[in-house]
Amino acid sequence: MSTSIQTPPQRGTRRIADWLNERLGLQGIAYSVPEHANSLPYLLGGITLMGFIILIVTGIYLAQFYHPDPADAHDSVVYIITGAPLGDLIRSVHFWTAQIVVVTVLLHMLRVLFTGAYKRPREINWYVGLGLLAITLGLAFTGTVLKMDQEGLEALGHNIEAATILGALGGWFSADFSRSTPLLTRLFDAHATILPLLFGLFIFTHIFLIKAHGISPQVTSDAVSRATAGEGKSHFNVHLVRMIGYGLLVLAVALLLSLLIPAPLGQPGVAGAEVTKPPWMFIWLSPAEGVWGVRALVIIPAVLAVLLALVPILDRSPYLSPSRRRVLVIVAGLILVVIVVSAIVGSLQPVTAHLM
Amino acid sequence: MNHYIRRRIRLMLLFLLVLSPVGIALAHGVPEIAVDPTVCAAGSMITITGSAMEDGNTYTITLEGIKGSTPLGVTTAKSESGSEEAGFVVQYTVPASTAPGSYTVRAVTPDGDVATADLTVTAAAAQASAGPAMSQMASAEPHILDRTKPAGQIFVVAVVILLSAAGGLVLVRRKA
Repeated sequence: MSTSIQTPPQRGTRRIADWLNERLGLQGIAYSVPEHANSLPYLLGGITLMGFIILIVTGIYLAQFYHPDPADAHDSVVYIITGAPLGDLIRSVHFWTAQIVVVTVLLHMLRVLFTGAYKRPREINWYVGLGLLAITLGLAFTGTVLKMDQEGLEALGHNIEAATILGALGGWFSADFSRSTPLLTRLFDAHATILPLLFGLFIFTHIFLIKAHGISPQVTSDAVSRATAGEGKSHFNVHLVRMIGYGLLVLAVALLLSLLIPAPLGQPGVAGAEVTKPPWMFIWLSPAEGVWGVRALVIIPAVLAVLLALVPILDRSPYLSPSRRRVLVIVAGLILVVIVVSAIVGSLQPVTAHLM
Repeated sequence: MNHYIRRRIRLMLLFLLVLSPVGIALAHGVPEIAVDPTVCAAGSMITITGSAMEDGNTYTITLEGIKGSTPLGVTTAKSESGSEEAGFVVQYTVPASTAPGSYTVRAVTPDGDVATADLTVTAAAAQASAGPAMSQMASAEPHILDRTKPAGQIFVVAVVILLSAAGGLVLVRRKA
């Protein structure tokens, strides 16, 4: 009597998954990660990345209709809103996703700061993260200018004056840098090519280093910083699925806000006037600008960047618990309070002219 | 001092030179001009202030861009009594026909002394406007446009919102 081995029948989706797995090696992403990596605070970076994917897709669409010339830029934004297919909706999704991404990237940085996730061996990844923060704010700033409404034109004026204060370092922002191409066009280049390219390089490095070191250990009173690669009861595919889930929620929120409050556009910019306030992510600098002028826009962010860069150098203890890092946590908390209070003051105070 | 240290000092000096603000480079005796405002609309007035100049020197001031040079005027640097340096303050109107873009304001003497400053020209307010809410005055008010959407589009977007939110919640709450 002969016997034959029969494999159980497989469902269609399972067969497709197996077929893809065999060819793409998808099981490789199911490496171990700690369970706390799947909690919301540790997913903020991933949520930001999902937001960037929405921004790239909507940005590519908007670039088909935007004209980066000082004379036509505002008109082309008007056309995007009134004439381009789904233009108003896609521009609004781009705008609202950008706001969400700035919030999540700031919260992500604060989570890393307050949980000590910048400590050895993750110091270099902290600097890569600071670079990503700077790129994100650069994208937010250049995006504001591109509208060439009153807010955008005033942002451009501040940009030019800040570049003058920077001297030779601000040369790229000088109108004299390229007589053939307006500064607005070059800022569009920065927004659509230079900064996204830098973002790609930095995010690749960021993810590579997270993979190399593993997620920082969960904060307990005695927890110390160490590499955790390959440890944990959960798996990265679970983490990835949650990232995608939050990405879909970001899309839903951005779409809902786009329907309820379409992305704003101001009147065409009139040069030489200052009648608008900066976007919310920069408004905390407004009170300082009122006291020290435009140089505050250069000096204060530079000081803050230096302080953030010093964090892993000054805080060299291995402990993650905030209670064992009281000085740093208190100083960082105080700076955060000053920034929040400055933002509230900047929002409430009347608009004043600062440009020379 | 070995070669390595000399090389490091040279590199540091080069670094400091690069970081030096332009103002240091424009020291006493080198004529300079400043334009106010640095961003203006075509047809508007700009003020050009010259300093660190030689008394009595005549400067021809031009607006130079990719499409050529536009003469703005001629002025003479004068010194205040007791001052070694001379300068000027003049006002010119940027021609209304000036195309928006990046320009250099150039002040040059017959002897070839040159001072320059950057100027970005935007379209005249009336030209830049589009749509029903046209204004020639700077305004923080929103640009009023018809942003109503067809009911079909709102319905489809609402469905996409619900699907995204439901899909997102399912994935976020899925057990590991």
